Amino acid sequence: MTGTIGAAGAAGAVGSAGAVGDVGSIGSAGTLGSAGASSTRPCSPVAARVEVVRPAAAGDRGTVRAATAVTVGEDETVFPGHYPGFPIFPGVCVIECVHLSGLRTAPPGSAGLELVAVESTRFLSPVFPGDRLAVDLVWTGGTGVWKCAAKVATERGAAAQVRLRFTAEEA
Amino acid sequence: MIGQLEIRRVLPHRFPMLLLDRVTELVPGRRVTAVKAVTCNEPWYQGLGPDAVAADYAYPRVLLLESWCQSAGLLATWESPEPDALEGRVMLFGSVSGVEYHRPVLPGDVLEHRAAITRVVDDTVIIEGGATVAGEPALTVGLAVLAFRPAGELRPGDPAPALP
Repeated sequence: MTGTIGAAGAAGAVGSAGAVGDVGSIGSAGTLGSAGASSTRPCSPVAARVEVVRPAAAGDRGTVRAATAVTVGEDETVFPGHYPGFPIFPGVCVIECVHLSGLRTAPPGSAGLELVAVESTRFLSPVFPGDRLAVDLVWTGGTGVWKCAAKVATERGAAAQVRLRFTAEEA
Repeated sequence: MIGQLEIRRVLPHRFPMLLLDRVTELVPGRRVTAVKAVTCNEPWYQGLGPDAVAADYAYPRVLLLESWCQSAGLLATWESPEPDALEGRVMLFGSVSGVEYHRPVLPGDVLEHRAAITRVVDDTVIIEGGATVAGEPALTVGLAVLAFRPAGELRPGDPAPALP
């Protein structure tokens, strides 16, 4: 019962804060919009904001590189149930942080990015409430298909490697 | 029928992260078929405002994977459950690959997960499978590697344990 009340309260508080902080920035970047979705934040198990540390910019050998940071709050919606008395940030939420980071740092010229595959992911060490995730993204591709290879680290070291595939409408 | 009582005896996940409703078939050590009904009353939908369009109600894709992984985890731990995450061993996903999404899943859809063990090596179990909605493919999972680790290795403040 405690878990139920706590989760509902946390989601409400974070949800309203997230709406103010994120709609403007995502909307102005023009990167969000999976297959006809509106400009609101996508329905997500992760409430935390994605901070763009380094916007998408050309890297070597035709890649596009970017970096973000995500601070995992102790009030994240998932924690009461994952697990009771022993909060660990779920691996799929680490993947979601990369997904949301990808939407915020879409390669120039792409639009309407939609996640279609998790090509591979390796979880290297656990993520706990309060951790700040540093996400380094390398985009490759173009002409409608973009791949995003990301390394995720906490203050303690490497946490995960994630390779996602998106489809995009080319502008 | 394998319902919530049996599922909660095996999995440590609880609201809002217990994403399995029922198990319809289980062959221990081999394969499982499990069901998850998606509803608009899950907390992920709480942040959607009045301007949300139909596509915004697509179930979060990473949670489709989480729900499937729970059916895989249930299969892997069925014969030696550790439902208390504070004690004993914790089941962790070391890696997952070849995850493909085939269609949006919306509130009212019922996911049917299928997972099958392909290999067991020491404390590591390799599982593959996917999910359908009304017989149509929604998700395929090429390969998931589950590992078991003592819960004590995972406490915050300790050095990060190496996972496979």
